Amino acid sequence: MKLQTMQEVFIKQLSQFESDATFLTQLTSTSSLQPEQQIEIYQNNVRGALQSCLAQIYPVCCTILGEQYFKQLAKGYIQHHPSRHSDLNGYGESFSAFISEQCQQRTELFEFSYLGDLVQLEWLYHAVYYAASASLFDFDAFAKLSASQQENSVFQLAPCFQFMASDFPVLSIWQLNRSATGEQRSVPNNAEKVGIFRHENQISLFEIEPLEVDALSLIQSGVSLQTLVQSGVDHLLPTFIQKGWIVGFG
Amino acid sequence: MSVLASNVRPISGVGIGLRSQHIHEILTTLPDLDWLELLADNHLAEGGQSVDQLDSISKHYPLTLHCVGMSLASVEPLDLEYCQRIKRLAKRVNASWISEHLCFSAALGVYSHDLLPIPYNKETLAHCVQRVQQIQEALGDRLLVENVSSYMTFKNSDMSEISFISALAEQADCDLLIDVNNIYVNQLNHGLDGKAYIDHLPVERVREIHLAGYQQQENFVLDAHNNPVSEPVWALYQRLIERQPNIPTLIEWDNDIPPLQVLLDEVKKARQIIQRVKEAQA
Repeated sequence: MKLQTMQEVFIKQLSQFESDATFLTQLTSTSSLQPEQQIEIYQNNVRGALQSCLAQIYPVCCTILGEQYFKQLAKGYIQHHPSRHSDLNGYGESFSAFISEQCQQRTELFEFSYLGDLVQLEWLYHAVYYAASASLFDFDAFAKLSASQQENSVFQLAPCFQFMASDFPVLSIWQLNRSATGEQRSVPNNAEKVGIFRHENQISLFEIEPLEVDALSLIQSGVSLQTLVQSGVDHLLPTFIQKGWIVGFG
Repeated sequence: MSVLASNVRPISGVGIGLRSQHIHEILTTLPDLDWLELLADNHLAEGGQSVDQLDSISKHYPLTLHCVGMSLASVEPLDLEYCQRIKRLAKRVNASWISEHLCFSAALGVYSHDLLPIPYNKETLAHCVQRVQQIQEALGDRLLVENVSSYMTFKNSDMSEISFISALAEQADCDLLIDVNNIYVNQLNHGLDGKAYIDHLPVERVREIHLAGYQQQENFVLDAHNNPVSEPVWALYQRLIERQPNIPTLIEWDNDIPPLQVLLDEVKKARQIIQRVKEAQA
């Protein structure tokens, strides 16, 4: 078997968690390890690394579901989602969609309908942690633009700022379980819209207003200042810039 | 050839792999360590707490970079962007050198995040020589290539590991990082002769030694880096040090990370062995 074929078949077995009969014939048995065991060791290593990665990114979800059940769910996710990132920190973004699906399919998860959004919140926290710091908005450069250029400007959100809107009180649930003490808790009923921002090394999570979500969604979609004015949200821009949520324009 | 930095600090003596659990203590107590090694892939993000801390660490200790993401032996195209990120990090922290493992980790666009073994034969050697040369070109510096522990052996391996790694170092003109625990793990799992391996190493190319602990499984040993260095590994280490006592040595501990003092005790043991060998050779 040529090197390229060997690597491709090897990696398929690690992403699909199945053995390839032809590949196994290419391996030698040792006194302690048969070919099947040799590939199993690597499959276990890969699965273990990705399970640990998900547990680190989603600690609150793990706390709510319990370590064993979380590991079982993570195993199912890993089975269908091999890593496509050289950087392990990039793995697991679609875990939120997977969990939402599981919450609809598994009767034992029916009561956790908020979990998909909670997982999304944890992913955004993770993204904010590793994102570049916010730079300062260049007011002088913006002032030098013509009126027409300013109208057509598109604003850029800080990489270390994220937001989301949920139908569930995800921030309250996150806060309650982040400092888990083991007591029984009731889940609040109100929907919450959440901002996440890192200033220097400090990450803060806070509720934001519905109109702020509208404005931020428009900015994120790349609309111009003119559209923001027409949408009636341009008055929020100075505050966004002052808070460091908007860092540039183009 | 080095373009990493003009004022790279020399590495000597015994250091430890820097792990996030110990950063605060190291910065506040500045323990007696000769150098520190960063797991480069953990520090490639643009933000995060570690960026500022690294700047502080690099002011107090010489640093080296240890990579896991180059997929050195992979048949996929080399990730040049990854190499550039490593190079930028090396410059930022004034790293003395960069090392990577003799393995592949990705194929078909899928990343295993593991150190996957390769058959040792002429085809693989020719490929790895070309890859190491390409990496050294991209980094603008010599690469240290590390021997890996493995749990798999290929029928089409017709070279011994020591023959392969020696030929690679010579033909690619690279340096070596020898992990003594990996040699011992392969001895236990595959029957490799650890002493002969040490004796046949092209020691003039060995610029760094790694020491770590393994974990006994039911019928094999796992290179888990979660235990103290074992006595047989210390013995192999002494054998290597007797060939060249001035090779910088690093204690690696990656899982079930203990208090810093446990690693400092391991550093002390390594220093004692070096001292003993030097005195015997004086």
